Amino acid sequence: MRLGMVIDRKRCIGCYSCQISCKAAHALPPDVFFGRVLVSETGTYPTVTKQILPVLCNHCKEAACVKVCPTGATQKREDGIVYVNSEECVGCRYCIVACPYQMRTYNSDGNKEYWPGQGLTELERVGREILYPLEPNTVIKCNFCMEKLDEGLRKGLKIGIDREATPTCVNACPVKARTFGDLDDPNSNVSKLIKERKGYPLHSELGTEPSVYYLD
Amino acid sequence: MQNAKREIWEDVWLHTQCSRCYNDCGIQVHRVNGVAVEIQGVPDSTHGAMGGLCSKGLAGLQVLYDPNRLNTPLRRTNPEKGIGVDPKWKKITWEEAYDEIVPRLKKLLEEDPRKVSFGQWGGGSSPSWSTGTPSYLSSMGPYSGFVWGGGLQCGGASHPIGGITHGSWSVVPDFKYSNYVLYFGASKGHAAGHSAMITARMAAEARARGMKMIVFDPMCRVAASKAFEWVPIVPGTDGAVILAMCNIIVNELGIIDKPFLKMKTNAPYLVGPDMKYVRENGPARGVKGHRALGQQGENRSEEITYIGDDETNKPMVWDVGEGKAKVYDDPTIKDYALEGNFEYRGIKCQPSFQLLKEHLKEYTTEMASKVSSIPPETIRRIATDFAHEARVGSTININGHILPYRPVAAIIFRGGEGHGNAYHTCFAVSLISALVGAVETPGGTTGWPARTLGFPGREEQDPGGFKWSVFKGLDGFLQNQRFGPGSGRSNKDVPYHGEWPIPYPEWKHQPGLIDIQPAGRFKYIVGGSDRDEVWKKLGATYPVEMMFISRNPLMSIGDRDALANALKSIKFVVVSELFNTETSEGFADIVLPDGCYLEKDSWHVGLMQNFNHAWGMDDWSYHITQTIAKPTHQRKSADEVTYDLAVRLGKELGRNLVREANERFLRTAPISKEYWPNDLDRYLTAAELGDAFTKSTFGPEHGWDWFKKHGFMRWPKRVEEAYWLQFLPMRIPVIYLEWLAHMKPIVEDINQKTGVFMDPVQYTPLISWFPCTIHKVEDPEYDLYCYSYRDILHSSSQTMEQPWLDEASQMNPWTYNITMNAETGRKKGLKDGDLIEVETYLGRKEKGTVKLMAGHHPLTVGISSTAGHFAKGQPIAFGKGSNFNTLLPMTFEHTDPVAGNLETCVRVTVRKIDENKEGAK
Amino acid sequence: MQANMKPFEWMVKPTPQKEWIERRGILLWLAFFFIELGAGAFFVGTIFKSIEAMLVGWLVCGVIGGGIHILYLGHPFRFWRMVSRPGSSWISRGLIFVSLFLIFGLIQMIMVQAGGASPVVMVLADLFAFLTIVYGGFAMNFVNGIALWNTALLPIIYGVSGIWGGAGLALGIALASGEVSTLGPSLEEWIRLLLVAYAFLLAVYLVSVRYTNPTGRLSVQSIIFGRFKALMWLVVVLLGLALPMTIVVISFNTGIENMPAGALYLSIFCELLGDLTLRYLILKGGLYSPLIPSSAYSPSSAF
Repeated sequence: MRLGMVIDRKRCIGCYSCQISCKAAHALPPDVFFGRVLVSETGTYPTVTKQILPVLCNHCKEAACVKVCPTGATQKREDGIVYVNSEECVGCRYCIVACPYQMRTYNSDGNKEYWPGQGLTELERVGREILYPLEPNTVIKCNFCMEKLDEGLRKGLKIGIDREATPTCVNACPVKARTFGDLDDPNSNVSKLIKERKGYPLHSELGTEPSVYYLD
Repeated sequence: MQNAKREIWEDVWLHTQCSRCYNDCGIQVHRVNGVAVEIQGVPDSTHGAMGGLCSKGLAGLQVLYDPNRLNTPLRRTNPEKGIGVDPKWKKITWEEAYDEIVPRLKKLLEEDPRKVSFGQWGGGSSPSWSTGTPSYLSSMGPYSGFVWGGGLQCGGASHPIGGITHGSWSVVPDFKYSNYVLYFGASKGHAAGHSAMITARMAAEARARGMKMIVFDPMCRVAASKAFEWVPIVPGTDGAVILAMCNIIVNELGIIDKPFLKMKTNAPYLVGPDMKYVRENGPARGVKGHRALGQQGENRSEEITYIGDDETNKPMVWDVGEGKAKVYDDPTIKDYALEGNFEYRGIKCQPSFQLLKEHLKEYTTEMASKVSSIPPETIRRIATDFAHEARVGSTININGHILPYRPVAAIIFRGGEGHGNAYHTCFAVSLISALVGAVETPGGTTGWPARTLGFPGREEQDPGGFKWSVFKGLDGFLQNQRFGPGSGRSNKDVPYHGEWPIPYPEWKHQPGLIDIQPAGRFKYIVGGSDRDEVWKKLGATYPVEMMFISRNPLMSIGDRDALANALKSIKFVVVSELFNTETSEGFADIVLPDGCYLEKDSWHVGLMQNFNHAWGMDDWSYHITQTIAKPTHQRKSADEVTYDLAVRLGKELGRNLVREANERFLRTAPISKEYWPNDLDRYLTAAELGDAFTKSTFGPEHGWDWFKKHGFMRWPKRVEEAYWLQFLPMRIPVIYLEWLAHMKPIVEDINQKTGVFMDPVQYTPLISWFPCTIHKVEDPEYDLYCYSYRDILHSSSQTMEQPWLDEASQMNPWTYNITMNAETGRKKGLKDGDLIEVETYLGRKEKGTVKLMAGHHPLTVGISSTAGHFAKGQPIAFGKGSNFNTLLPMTFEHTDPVAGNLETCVRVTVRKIDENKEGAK
Repeated sequence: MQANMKPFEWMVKPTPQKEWIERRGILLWLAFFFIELGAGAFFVGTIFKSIEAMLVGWLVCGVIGGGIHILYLGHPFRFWRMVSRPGSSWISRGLIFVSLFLIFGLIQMIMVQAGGASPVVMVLADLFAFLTIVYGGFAMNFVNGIALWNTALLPIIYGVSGIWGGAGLALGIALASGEVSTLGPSLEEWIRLLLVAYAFLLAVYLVSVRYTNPTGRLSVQSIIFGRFKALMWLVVVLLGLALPMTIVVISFNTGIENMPAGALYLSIFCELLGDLTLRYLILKGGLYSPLIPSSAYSPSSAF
C-alpha cells in the first residue's frame, strides 16, 4: 500500500481552501503551512496561462528527508506516509534543506498569536493544546492527516472514500480537485486517474518518486 | 510533549449555515469543549460545494474568536465626526444605549417617519450577511432610498434584468448541460460571487466534462484562468461585442431559434411608427399599481402606473397563416410573423424582431473590434462557434420530458455590467442566448430556481413556506412572485411583485431617484458628491436624521470624501457591528456589539431565494442556522435589539409593536395559522419561529429539533420546477425593450424641467451599445482604465481581518497589489514592488505597490475590491492593499441613465512615487 | 535578487535556501567552518608534528565548532540521537566522524605528549579528521534540490579548503610559537599547492554548476555577477585568493623566514576570511528550483 494524492489542476480554482482548512484542522501557528497554493503565469500577453498549483508534502517513495534524518525521527510508514516523530526530532533541519519541494517547517515559535500582541484566543488555545499539539523546536510537516486516517481505519472506514478517513484538504476542496487513495492498487481511484489523465509528479528528475500527482 | 493534552469533555459536529457572503452555504462546525475549532462543508447538501467550502467560510472561526470583536455598546464622546477623528469611545450598558436611542427615535417617528433610515440593519458588512432580521420597525414607516454599501456596485441593472428575463436575481449557465459559455466580467464558478460554492462545484464538473468557457475580461484572473479562451477586452465595451456577435448570428449565419422567438419572446409583437406595441384597441393606457418603498419588504407603498395595458388591450402579432393581426395569445394563431411589413387599424407596423434585425446591422465586427480591442476574427469565430454549439432544433429527454437542448449560455455580472451602458449591455447578453433559444432550457442561460411547487406531500399547504413561482404577467410577460433582498418572504402584501412590470417615470421630488429612474433600484445619490445640486434640481429633500446601519459604506461604495459628507449630515447614527469599521469609527454615535452568524439561530436564511438554491436539476436543500457558540460578553444580535427597541418604543408610542411585528413575520414567512405560537405579545425566538415555519412547511414531524439534529432537508427537483419556462405560458421581453419608448418622452420632459440629465438616447427600445464616461476622457495623460475585481479570498468588507485570509492574501500576487500589464508598466518605468500613485482624471488618488502581469489588458489597472482598510478596530486588515472604491466618482454623470447604477470603472494615470518621500501608507 | 522575495514568489521563482544560513542558521555556517578548520589544523599538525596545531585544531573543532553546532539544534539535549542513521544520513556520519576524530585525536595527543606515539592511532585520528573535513561537503552534495550544492566537487573543495585552512592555522601557530623556521617552508609548500588547487577547483565548480540547470545558473550568476558579487570579488577573490597568492609569490622569492610576520598573519587571516565568505556564499546562493512554471515576464520583476 502506498497512499497518494492526485490533484486535478483543471478543476482547481486556486481558492486556498486546502491551505486554510489544513491550518484550521491542525491549529497551525502563523506562517506555518503544511499545504499551500502557488500561483504564477506563463506566456506573454495575450496568450497567457495562469498557473495555479496547490502543493503539500509529496510523501516521496525515495524521500530525501527520510534519508537525511540523523535521528530517525522522520520515518516512512508501510502505507507510504512520511511523518515526523517529533519526540525524536533534534531540530537539525537537514530534512528541511534536503527537501527539494520545501514542504517542511521548523516550528520555532508555537506560541505565536494570530492577532499579534493580543494574546492567544480560545481558538488557538484549544487548537494547540487539545486538537493538535505541536512540539516546539522540531520540524513539522503534512502527514496526510495520518491521525485521522488511522482513526478512520479503526472505525472500519475506507481511506479516501469516507470523509472521516480522508485528509482534510481533500474534503475541503469545493471543486473536488483532490483524490486520495492507494497508488499501489492499479484499480484505485488515484491510479486510474493517473493512468487516464497522464498524471505527473513534481520534479520527477530528482528521483524522489513523489506520491502526489498532478493532472492538467 | 510540552503541551499536555487537556481533558476533552465535548467533541461534536453541528450543522448550521455560513454567512461570510450572501450565499449561506450549509456548513458543519466542530466544537470541542465549547470552542468551535473547525468548519467543513456538508457533503449531502446541494446548498454548497457538497463537502467543500471556500476559504472565507473556513476562516469564519477567526470571526468568532477575533479579540477585536465589539463586546459592549459604545458611545461616541467626541462630538466631532469624520475620517481619522478619534471617536473617544466610552463603554456604556445596553440600557444606556437604549436610553439614547429610543427617545430620539420616538420623536423623529412622530415628526415624520422618513426621518429614520432603518433599511439595512443586522448582518451588514459584518460577516453575517443575511440574518433574516425582520424589519420590525419598518411597519412604522422608516425610509430608505439608498443602498448604504454592499450593493451599490452590485447588479443595479443586471438584477432587474435577471428578473425580467429569468425571474431570477441573476443569471448563470446550466452547467450540467452547457458546452459553450460566454462570460462577460463575471466570476461565477470561481469560489466567489453568486452561489459561490454551488457554482464552483458545478462549473468544475462542467470543465471536467469538457465545457468550454470563453471569458471576456480585462484581466486574466480566476475565471479567465480556467477559461478555454481568455479574451482581453476594454472595460465597458462588452455590449458592442455582444451585439456584433448577435449581428453575425442573425444576419450572416441566420442561426436562430424561431419557435422560441415566436412563442417565448416578444419577437413577433408588432411595433408601430411610435416605436410602441400596436395594441388591439389603441395606445397603452397604463395600469395602476403600487410600489414598495424602501428595501426590505416594507409595508408602505406608493401608487404608481405601470407601462402596459390590461387584458382588454393586448399587444398584437401577425398571424402568417391567416394573414391578419391577432392578439399575441390568440389560440387560433397558426404561425407568427417575425419579419415583414404589416398594417393594423391603419397603423404601419413591423414585428419587433424585424426592427432588431435591421438595427443589429449597425454592429459590424469591425466597429466592435475597434472599441473593444478584440481582433475581428476572434469576435467572428466566437459568434460562429456559439451559434453552432447551440444546436438549434435539438431536444433532450429529462425524466420523460422532451425539452429543447441548447448547450450554450452567456452571462454577465459586475465587470461587464458596471458601466454607464449597463442596462443595454445586460439585455444584450440576454439577447444572444434568446436568439438561439438558450433560455431556461437544458444547457442554456438560466436563473436561480424561480419556481418551487412545495415540499413533496405538502404541496397543498397554503400558505406554503417553500412555494414560489413565476407567472404570465402584464402583456404576457414573465412576472415573478417573490423576489429581491427579502425574497424569503412573500411580497404578496405589496402588489409590486418583482421586476416586471415597469412603472412610468414620474417626477415626484423623491430623493431616492426611483421615481425618475424606475427601471433600476440601486442609486448612488445619497452618497453622491453632487447630491445637493441634484436634489435641488429635483426639488427633493433628504429627510433622514437618524440612521440604523450595519454596513460599511465608507469602504464599499465610492468617493470617500463625498460619503463622509453624507454620513456627517445624519445627526444620529446607530451601528450594529462585529468590529469597529471605517464607518463606525468615523460617524457612529452609538455602536452596538452584534452577534456573528455562529452565535445565532435563524430559520430564515435558508429560504433566501437569490442564491441559496442550486439550479438545473440539482436537488432542493433547505438549511437552518443554529447557534454554535453562545454570544459572550454583552454581544446581542441585531434581531434581538430590534425586539428590545420594539418593546420600548411600543410603550412610548402606545402600540403593541411586538405583536404587530410578530404577526407580520408569521404572515409573510408564510407560516400556516395552525402552527402560530399562542402568545404573540412577546419576543419570539428564532427557534420558536423556526419550529413553526419548519413544521408548517415540512410537516409536523420536521420541527426545529429535527433540523437542529439533521441540519437540512433535501428533496428532488421536478423538471417542471427546473425548466419552468418550457411548461408555463409566459414570454420574455428580451427582443425589444418597448417600455423605454414610453419612458423616453417623460425622461426628456424631466430633463428639461429639472436640469437633471438622463441621456434620452439610451431610452431606445432597440438594444444598443453606448460609449460611457470612461470612453470619453480626452486628456491623454489619463490613459488607463482602472477597476476593481472580486478577489477569491474576499467578500464584502470584513474578510481582510481574518489572519488566515490575510496570510493567503499575502501569498498571491493580486490581493494587496495594484496590478497592470507588464509591457505597459515597463513603458512607464515601473517594476514589481514599486510604490505607485493612481490618480483619476478628476483628481482622486490612491497609493499602492504595483505588480506587473502578463495576463492584463495593456490599457487597464486592477485593484482588488475591499482592500485598503484604515479602521483601528480591525488591526489585521489595517493598512493592507489599496482601496479602489475611493477613486470612483459619485456623480450623476457616472451612472447609467436608465438603471441608475454606478459606473464602476474610472480613467486614471499611474506614476511611480518615492517611498521615502511619500512614506508608506 | 532574492532579498525582497515576496511570499507569493516562494517556490514560484527559484527560491533561496534559508534554514542553514538565515537567522539561527548562521550558527550552522560557523559550525561547519570551525569543525572543518579545526580538523584540518589537527590533520596538518599530525603531519608536521606540531602538537600545538593539533591541540588548537582539536579545540577549534570539538569545542568551538561542535559547540556551535549543538547550540544550533532545536533540542540540544537530544543531540546524541543524531548517530542513529549512519546508513543514509551524512549528519549521523558526520557526528560519528567528529566524535571518533575527537577521541582518537585526544588519544594521539596524549600519546605524543607521553612520547609514545602510535602510527595506528595517528592514522585513525587523521582518517577521521579528514572525514570530518569533508562530511559537510557530502552533506550538502546530497541535497539534489539545490543545484549549487549537488555536485561532487563540493566535498572536494571543502576537503581542500579544510586542509588549506588548517595549514594556514598551523602556520599561524608556528609563527606565534616561533617555530616558523622549522615548519614554515614545508607548510608554505602545502599552502602554495592547496591555494592553487583551491582556486582552480573553485573556478571549475562555478563553471560546472552554471551549466547544470537554470537554477544552478542563477545561483552562479548571483555569486559572480549578482547580489553577492561584492563579497565574491572583494573578499573571496581579492582578499582570500589574490592577496595570499601575492604574499606566497613574494615569500617564494624571499624565503618565508624573511617575511614580516605581519604580512603572514594578514595572509592567513585573509585566507580564512575568504574561505568563510565562500562558504557563506555557497549556503546563501543555494536555490531550489521552482515547483511551478513561471516564464511570463520574470526578467523585470523585483526578483
